[in-house]
Amino acid sequence: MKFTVSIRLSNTEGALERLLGRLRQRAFEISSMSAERTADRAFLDARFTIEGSRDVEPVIKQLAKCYEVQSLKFQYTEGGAQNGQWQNHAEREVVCLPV
Amino acid sequence: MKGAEILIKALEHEGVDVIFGYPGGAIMPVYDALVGSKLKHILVRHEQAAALAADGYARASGNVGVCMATSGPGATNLLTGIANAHLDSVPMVAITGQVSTTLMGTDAFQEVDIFGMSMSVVKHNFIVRKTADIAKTIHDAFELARSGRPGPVLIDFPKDVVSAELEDVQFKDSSSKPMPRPEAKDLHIAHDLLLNSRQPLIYAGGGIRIAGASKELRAFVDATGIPVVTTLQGLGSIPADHPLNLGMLGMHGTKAANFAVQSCDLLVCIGARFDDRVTGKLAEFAPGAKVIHMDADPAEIGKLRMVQCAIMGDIKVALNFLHVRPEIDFWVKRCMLNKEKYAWDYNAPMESVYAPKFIKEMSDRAPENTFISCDVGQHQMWVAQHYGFKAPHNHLTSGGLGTMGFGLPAAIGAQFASPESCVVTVSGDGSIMMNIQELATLKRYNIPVKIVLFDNKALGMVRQWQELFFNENYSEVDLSDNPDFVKVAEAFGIPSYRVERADEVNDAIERMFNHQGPVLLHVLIDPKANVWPLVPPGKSNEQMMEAKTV
Repeated sequence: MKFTVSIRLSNTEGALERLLGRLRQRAFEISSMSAERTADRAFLDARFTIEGSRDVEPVIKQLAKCYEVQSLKFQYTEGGAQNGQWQNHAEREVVCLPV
Repeated sequence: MKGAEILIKALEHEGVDVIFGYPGGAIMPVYDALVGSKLKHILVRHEQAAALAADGYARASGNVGVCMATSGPGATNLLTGIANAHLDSVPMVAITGQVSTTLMGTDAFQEVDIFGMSMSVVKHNFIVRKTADIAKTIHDAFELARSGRPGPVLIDFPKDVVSAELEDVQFKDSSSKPMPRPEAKDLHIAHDLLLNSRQPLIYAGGGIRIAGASKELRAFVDATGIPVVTTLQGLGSIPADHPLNLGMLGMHGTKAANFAVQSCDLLVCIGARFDDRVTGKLAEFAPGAKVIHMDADPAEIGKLRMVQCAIMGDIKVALNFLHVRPEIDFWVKRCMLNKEKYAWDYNAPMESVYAPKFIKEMSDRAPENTFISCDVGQHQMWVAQHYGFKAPHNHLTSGGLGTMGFGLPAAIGAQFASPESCVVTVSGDGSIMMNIQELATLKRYNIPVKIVLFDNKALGMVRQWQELFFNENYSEVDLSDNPDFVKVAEAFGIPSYRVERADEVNDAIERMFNHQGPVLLHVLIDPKANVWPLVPPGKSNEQMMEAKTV
C-alpha cells in the first residue's frame, strides 16, 4: 500500500519529529518527503509519500491525533480503493491545542 | 517574579495540592520556590515511584496527578511511570528540570533529551524555552492531560528559564474542553442494533471510570437487561455483585464471560479497546457479533475490530439515550446458567493459604470505599478475579504496561487522594522488590497503607508460563533466597507479621484493617499455585485451560 499525506502543522518544537515517530513505530517507510515553513512562521506544510503493509486508516488517525496537526488530507497512490483521490481527514480528538 | 515561582503559582492555579517528586541539580530553582508555597511535596525515594504515585493519585481522585524530577537520570527514571499512565489513559503532568538552554546539546552534566525520549509515551510534551511561556504552557498541559482521552503530558524546564525574572504574569483559570455530544444518527443506528439483537453483550472498559459514567452504565444495564462483561480496567464499573455482571473477560476472565463473548450477536463496547489480553486470537474474538463501539478517541474506532456503529463523545449521553428493551430472555437465562455453573470454588482443602480465598475474605471484610492497588503478576489476576469491586476508581492496576512495582507507590498516591479511606496494596515477592524503597516514604509521612505481600518464592506468572508453555524449563524465576520481608519492613519502621496457614487468615485480615498506621502482611502461599482459567497465547477465548487439581 502506498499513499501520500499532506499535513499542515503548527510550527512548534518537535512537531515534525512526532509525526515521523508515529510512522516509524508502525513500520511505515517514507519514500519521499518535503516540508516548508509558511511565510508567517506559524505553520509547516509537510507532504509524505509512505509505503507500508498495515491498514492506512489507523495510522492516519494517529497522525491526526497529534496536537500540532491543523489539517490533514491523504490519497492512495497504490493499492487503495480510491487511488488518486484526495480525502480530507475530518475527525480529530475532541480537544485541540490552541495555536 | 522568578520563573520557578511562576511555575509554582501556575500549579496552584490548576488546583494542584500535592506533588510527588525528588530534587536534583537542574530542578533546584523550582524546589527553592516550593518552600512556603501551598503545595504539599511528597519526597519519594526513586523518581519512578513519583510518577507511579502521581498515577495512583490521579486514578483515585479523578484529578491530574503531578510528579517532578531533575534532568538526566531523574527524568529517565520517571519514564516508566509516564508510560504506565499513557497506556492506561491516566491524566498526569510530569515536570522535569533540564540543563540551561545554552548547555542543551553539549552533553552537559545530567543532560538527556527527555523531550525526544518521552515523545512516544506521552499524550503531548513541551520544552519551555522562554520564561514568558511558563504559565501558559502549564495551563495548556493540564487542559490536555484531563480533556478528551486523558494522558500524561511532560514539560521540560531548562534551569535558566526558571531562574530568570519576569514582571506582569497572567494566570489563566483551570479549564478542560467539554466532551461533545454523540451524533444523533449514530445513536439511532445503535438503538436499532440493540432492539434487533437477540444475544447482546456489554463489554465495559476503563473508559467508564474516566468518564465517571458508572451510574449511567448501571441504569443502561437495568433498563436493557443486557448482561455485562468487564475488562481489567472496567472492574467495578458495574458492581461485582450485580446479577447481570458475568465478570472479567479475556486471558484470565471467567468462563461465563468468555463464553458469552464468543456467542453474542451484538457486542456493545464502551470505553474499551480490544486489547490482545482481552481478545485472545483477534480473528476469532466474538466471531458472530456486530459491534457498537463508544469511545472518546476516534483513533480507537476500527483500530483492531471493524464496527457497525461508532459513537464518539460523551458516553453518558449515549447510555442515557439507549434505554431499549430487546427480547433476550432466552439469552440472559443461558448466561445466568453459565454464571452459576462456573462460579468460583473457594473450597481448597489445604493447610497453606489459598490466595483467591484470602482475597475474597479481604473483599468481604474491607471497609466501604477501600482502594486496592496491585502490582503485576499472579496476585494481580487473583485480585481482579476475586475482589468484589463496587466502583471502578477503587481498583488501581497497571493494565496496559504491566508495571511491576506499581502497587506501593500507587497506593501512596491513592492515600493522598483519599486520606480518610482505607488503602491496601496487594503485591508479590517479585514486584515488591521493584519499589521496596517506598516503605521509607510510608514511614516518613506515616501513610497508613496496608501491604498484603503474597510470597511464593518465585516470579509466579513467568513460572506458570514456563510450566505450561516452555516444557517446565524454569529459567531465572526462583526467588527462594528472598530476604525476610518481616524484618525488612521492621527495618523501615513498619510493623509486620507473617501469615502461614489458612486458619490464620481471618484474624490477620481483621488485624490489618484495625491497624491505624502502615502495616505489612507477609503471606506465604503455595509456590505451585497458578491462575485459572487461562486462555493460552494465540488461542481464542473459548479455549480456556483449567487447573488439573487445586
